[in-house]
Amino acid sequence: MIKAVLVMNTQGKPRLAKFYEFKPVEQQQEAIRNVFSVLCSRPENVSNFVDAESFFGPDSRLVYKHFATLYFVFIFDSSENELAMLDLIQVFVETLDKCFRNVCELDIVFNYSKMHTILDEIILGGQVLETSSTEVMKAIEEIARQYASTISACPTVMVSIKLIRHSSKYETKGLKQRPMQSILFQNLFQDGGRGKIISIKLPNSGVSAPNWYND
Amino acid sequence: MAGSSIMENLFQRSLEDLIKAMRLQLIGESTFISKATEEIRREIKSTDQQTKSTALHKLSYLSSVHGVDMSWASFHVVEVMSSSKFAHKRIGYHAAAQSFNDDTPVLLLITNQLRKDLSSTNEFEVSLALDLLSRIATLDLARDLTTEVFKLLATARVFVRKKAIAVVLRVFDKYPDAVRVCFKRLVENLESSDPQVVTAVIGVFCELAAKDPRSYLPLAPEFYRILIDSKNNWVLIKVLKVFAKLAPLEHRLGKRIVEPVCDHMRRSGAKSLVFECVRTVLTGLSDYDSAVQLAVEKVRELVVDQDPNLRYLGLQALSVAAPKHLWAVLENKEAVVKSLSDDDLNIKIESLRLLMAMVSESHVADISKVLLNYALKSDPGFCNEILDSILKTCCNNVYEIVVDFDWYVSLLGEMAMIPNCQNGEEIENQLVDIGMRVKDARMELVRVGRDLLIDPALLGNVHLHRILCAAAWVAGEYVEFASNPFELVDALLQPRTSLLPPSIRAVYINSVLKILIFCLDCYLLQNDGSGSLYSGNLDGRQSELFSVKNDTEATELATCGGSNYEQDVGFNPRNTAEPSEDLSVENGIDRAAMHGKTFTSNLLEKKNSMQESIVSLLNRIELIFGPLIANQDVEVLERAQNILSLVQLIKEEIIDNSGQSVDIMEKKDTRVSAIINSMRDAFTTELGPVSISAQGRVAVPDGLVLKDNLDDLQEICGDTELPSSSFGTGGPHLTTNSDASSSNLLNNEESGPLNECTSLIEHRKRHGLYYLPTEKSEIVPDEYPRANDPKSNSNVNDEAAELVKLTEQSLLLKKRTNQTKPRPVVVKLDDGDIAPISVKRPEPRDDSLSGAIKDVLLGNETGPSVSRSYPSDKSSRKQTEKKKLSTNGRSEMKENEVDAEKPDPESPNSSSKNHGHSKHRRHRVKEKSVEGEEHDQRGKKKSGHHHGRRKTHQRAKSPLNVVSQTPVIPDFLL
Repeated sequence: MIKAVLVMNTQGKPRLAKFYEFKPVEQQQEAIRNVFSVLCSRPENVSNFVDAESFFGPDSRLVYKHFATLYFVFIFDSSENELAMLDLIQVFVETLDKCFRNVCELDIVFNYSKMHTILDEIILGGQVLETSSTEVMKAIEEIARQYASTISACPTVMVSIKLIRHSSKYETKGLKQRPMQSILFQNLFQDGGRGKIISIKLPNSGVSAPNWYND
Repeated sequence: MAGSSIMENLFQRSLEDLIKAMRLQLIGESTFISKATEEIRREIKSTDQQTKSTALHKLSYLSSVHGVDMSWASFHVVEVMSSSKFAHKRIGYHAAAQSFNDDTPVLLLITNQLRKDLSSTNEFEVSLALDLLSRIATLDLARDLTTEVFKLLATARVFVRKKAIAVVLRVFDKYPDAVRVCFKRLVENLESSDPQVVTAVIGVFCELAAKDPRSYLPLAPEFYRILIDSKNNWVLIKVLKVFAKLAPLEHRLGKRIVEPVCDHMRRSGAKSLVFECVRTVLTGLSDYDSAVQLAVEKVRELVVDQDPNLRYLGLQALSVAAPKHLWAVLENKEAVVKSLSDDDLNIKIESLRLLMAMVSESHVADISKVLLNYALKSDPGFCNEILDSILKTCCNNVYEIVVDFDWYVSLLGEMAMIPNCQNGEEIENQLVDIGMRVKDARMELVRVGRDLLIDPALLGNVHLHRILCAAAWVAGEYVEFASNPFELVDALLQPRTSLLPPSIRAVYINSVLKILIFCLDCYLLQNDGSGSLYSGNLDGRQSELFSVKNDTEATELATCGGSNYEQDVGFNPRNTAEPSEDLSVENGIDRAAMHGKTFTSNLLEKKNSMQESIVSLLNRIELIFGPLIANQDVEVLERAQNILSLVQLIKEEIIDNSGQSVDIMEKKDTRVSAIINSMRDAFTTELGPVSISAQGRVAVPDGLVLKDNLDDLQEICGDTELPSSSFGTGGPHLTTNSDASSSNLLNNEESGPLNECTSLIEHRKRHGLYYLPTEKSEIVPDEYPRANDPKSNSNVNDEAAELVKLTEQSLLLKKRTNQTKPRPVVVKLDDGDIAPISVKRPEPRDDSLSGAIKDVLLGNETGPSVSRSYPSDKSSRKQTEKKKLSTNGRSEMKENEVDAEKPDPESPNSSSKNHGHSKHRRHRVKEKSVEGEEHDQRGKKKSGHHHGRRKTHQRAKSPLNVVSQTPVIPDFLL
C-alpha cells in the first residue's frame, strides 16, 4: 500500500502532505524535512528511488519526480510496483495539469482542498483506485458541481483564485524558460517571480504518452 | 446573534486570504501562524456553520502543511461533519481524516453520522464517509459499520463500490470477524466486468496475501483467470504479486502459472509489467530454469538501459537472483562492474552488493584491492560503503573466505589509513578477533599495529581511535612477535596520545606495562641465559620469518616484508636515512651478533647497552606517566599509578647495580626477577574468543533468584553494549600455551633490545626526548592518498576491466588452489561464535483474520451442508484453528492435498463448484439482509448467539467431523 504522498518545493516547503498511516503532526513535519534533505542532495539525471527505510520504517520505498520547482514524492511498501508508482505520479501531475490548465506551483499553493480531492480520487486509504486521469477528472467535476450547488454564495473566492492565477501568468512573462529535467516528459517550466512559480506543461496529455512504464 | 454571525462571516478570512497573507507576511512565519491559530480558535466557536467550517478549513490547512496541532478541535470537526451542506461536510471529513486517530475520544460520536452518510443516496457523501473510514476505522467503528460496507460491496454504483472494496481492507484488519460477512462479496467482485472494481479488489487481495498467503490458496483459480484474461497492466502487476506469494506454498500452482507469466514477459511492452514478471519468477518461481533464463535475459536488457531507474531495478533484480542463481550475476558482470562508477549512488551501492556476492576465496584478495582503489577515489559516503561491504564479506562465518590472514590483516591496516574511513569499530573488532583466533596471523598483526601506532598523524583522526585502541592492545598482547618493543613503547608514549579518549588511553597504558614486562624479562633472561641458545633460536626464527615473507613477495607487500626483515637485523630504515659512519659500524657489529658468529665476544658490550636502553625506557615511562597521576579519568590514573610504582621498584635495583660486575647484579636482581617472572606469567596466558553462549553454561548458584522477565531492565540499559571481551580486566577464556609463548620469548628478545639500543640513544640525543620516526618506511605512505585524485582517474577503465577479469575467475578458479601455504587454523567455538540471528518468521499476525478467512474459504469446499447449518461451518473453523495450533499441522495439510489430487467424481471442476456455491451463499445472505433491515444490531446479536451454540455442537460433533469435514484445498490444476 501507499504510505504517504508528499509534494514539496525545491526549498523544502511542503505543499501537500498526506499520510495514510496516522502520524502525529511533529512526526509528519520531521518526515518531510528528512525526505527533503535527501532529495535536495540528489543530482539531476539519476534514478528516482531513495532509500526510505530510515524515515518510514522497514519495507518502505520512495520514488519521487522533480518537476521544475516541485518534488512529487510517493512512499509505499513492497505491495506496489516501483515503476507503476512513477507512472502514478505522472497520472497525478497530469490530472493536476488538466484541472488547472498548465499547473504551476501557485495553483498547488492556493488550491489546497482541490489537491486533496484529486488525490482522494486516485488513492483511498493507501490503495490505488483509479489510474486514468480522465476518470479522475470526471469525478472531480461532479464533486465541484456538488460543491457549487450546496455552497450558498461565495463568488468572491472564485474571483480571487482567478486573479491569482492571472497574476501568476503575468509574473512569469518574460522569464527565461528552463528545459525539462525529466527524460520522460518534455515539459516547459517557467521559474520566476518569488522563485516559486512554475508551469508544468504536458504536451500530449492522455495515456498515450510514449515512455510510460506501465503502458 | 444573527447579525454578529453575518458580520463574522463577512470579515472572516477565507483559506485563500490566509494563504495570500502568509505569502506577504513580514512578521515571520511562526508568529504569523500562531496569530492565525488564535484567530481560528475564536472563529471556530461561532454558531454560524459557514464561519465554523471556514475556520476548520484553515486549521486543517495549517495542520497539514505547517504542522500545527489540531487535536484540540476534534469536537468542532464532528460538528462540521454533521452539517447538511456538502461543502461543509467535506471540510469536516477532511479534517477528521487528517487529525483523528485511535485515541481520539470523540470517535465514539461519529458512528451514527458515518452510518447515515454511508447509506446516503448521494454517492459523494458515501465516498466521503468511506474515505474517512479507510483512514481512521477502529475496532468499534469497523464492527458497527460492517453491514453498511457490506451493502456497498454489491452496489451498482461503481464509483462507490470500488471505494467500499478498498475500505474492506481496513475493516478486516481491525475487525476480523467482518470476514464472515463480507468475504464472499469481495470474492465475487473479482469476477466483475468493471475494470475499476477489479483493480480495487485485486489490490485488496494483494495486501491480504502479503500478510498471510496460505489462507488465499483456495482462491488461486480466480487469480489465475485474471492472470490469463486481464488486459490491464495495473491488475496484472497486482495479480503477479499475489502469485509471487502463493507459488512457493504450492508447487502445482507454480507449474500452472509459469507459462502465462513468461508469456506476459515476452509480449508485454510495459516495463513495469515486465519487471514485475521478472521479480515474480526470481522470487516465486526460481526452480523453473527456462523461466529464470528468460527473466535474466530481461534483466540484462534492464541493466544496460539508458534510464537509470531501469538500471537500478535491474541490479536489484540481480541481487534477488544472486543467492540461488549466481550465474545470472556472473553473466551480467560487465554491466555490474560498469555500474560501480555510475553517477547514481543507488546504482553504485547495488552494484557493490552484487560484486561482493560474487567474491570467492580464490580472488577475494584481488577484488578487495581493486575495490580499495575505488574507495580512495570515491566520495566519503560511498567509500565507507565499500569498506563496510569488504569487512562484512570477509568476516562472514568466521573469516570463511580468507585464506591468507597476513594479507587480510595488512588490508585492515590499509583500510585504517584511508582518509574517510569511518568503519573504525568494525576494524577494531576484527583486529582483536583475528588476534585471538588465528595464531599465525599475530606477527603480521603486530607489524600492522606498529605501523598504525607510530604515525602521530593518525592520533588526530577521531574515527581512527577505535582502531588505534585495537592496535595498542595487539601490540601489548603479542609483543613477543614485535620486531622492536622499544619502538612500540615510544609510539605508545608519544605526546599526542593525549588526544585519545581516556578509555583508549587506558589501553595504551596497559600495553606499555605489558611491553615493559616483556623487555625486563628478556633483559633478566639474557643475564643468566646462555649465548648458544639465543643464536640457535634466532637463526631458526629468522629463516621462518623469511619464508613467511617470501610468500607475499608477489604483492606489493613484498617490499614491506623485506624491510621488516631488515629491521630485525638492525634499524636499517632509520640508519640509511641518516647515514653516519659510526652507526653503520655499529650496525655491522649488531648484525654479526645476530648471526651468532661473534656472539660471545660481544656479550658484555651488548649487556651494557641493553641495560642502558632499559634504564632510559624506565626513565621515559616515569617522565611521561608522572603527570597522569593527576588525570581526571580514574582508569587512566589507576593504571598510570600502578606502572609508576613498578618502575620505581625496578629502577632502584637496576640503576644501583649499573656500575658493578655481572655477578653481583645477578644476585641483587633476584627479587626483581621474581616479580617480573610472575607478571610475565600472568600476561602470557593466552586470551581466546568467548562464545556468545558462554554465560549459559555457568550454573546458576543456589539461592540466586533470577527475575524471569527482565524486559524492564532492557528499557533502562537500552542499547548499551558490553565492551569488547578482550580489553580490561574481564578475563575471557584462558588457554595455556606457556610452551609456545616462552619459546617465542626466547626467540624475540634479542631482536629488539640488542639492535636498537645504540642507534636509539644516538637518535634521541639529537631529537630530544620523544623519539618518533620522522621518515616512514615504504609501508606507511608519507601522506594520505588524495581522494579523487585526478591522475588516478584515468585508469578507472583499466580497473573496471580488471574487475571484470577477476569476477570471471570466480567460477573457473573456484577449485584452483593457488595458495602457497595452507590456511592457518582459525579458532572456532563449538557452540557458535556469532550471535544467533533471530530468524523473525513472519508470525501470523492476523491470527483471527486468517482463521476467519480459512473458515470462509474452506467452508466453501466442505459440502452442501455448509450453507445450511452453522455448526458444521463452525466446526470446520475449529478444525482450522486446531490445525494452526498443532505442531504437525503441515503434514495434515499435505495429506489433504494428496486427497485432493485423487479424482473426485463429485466435483470435477472445483472452481465451478465454487461458483455454484457462492451463489448459494449469496442467496442466503440476501435472505438474511431482507429479513431484517436493522441488520447491524441483529447481526451482532446473532454472532453472539452462534458462539454459544457452536460450543455445544462442537462437543457433540467434532469426533465425527474430523473425517467428514477435513478442509480440502482445491486442485489448482483445474
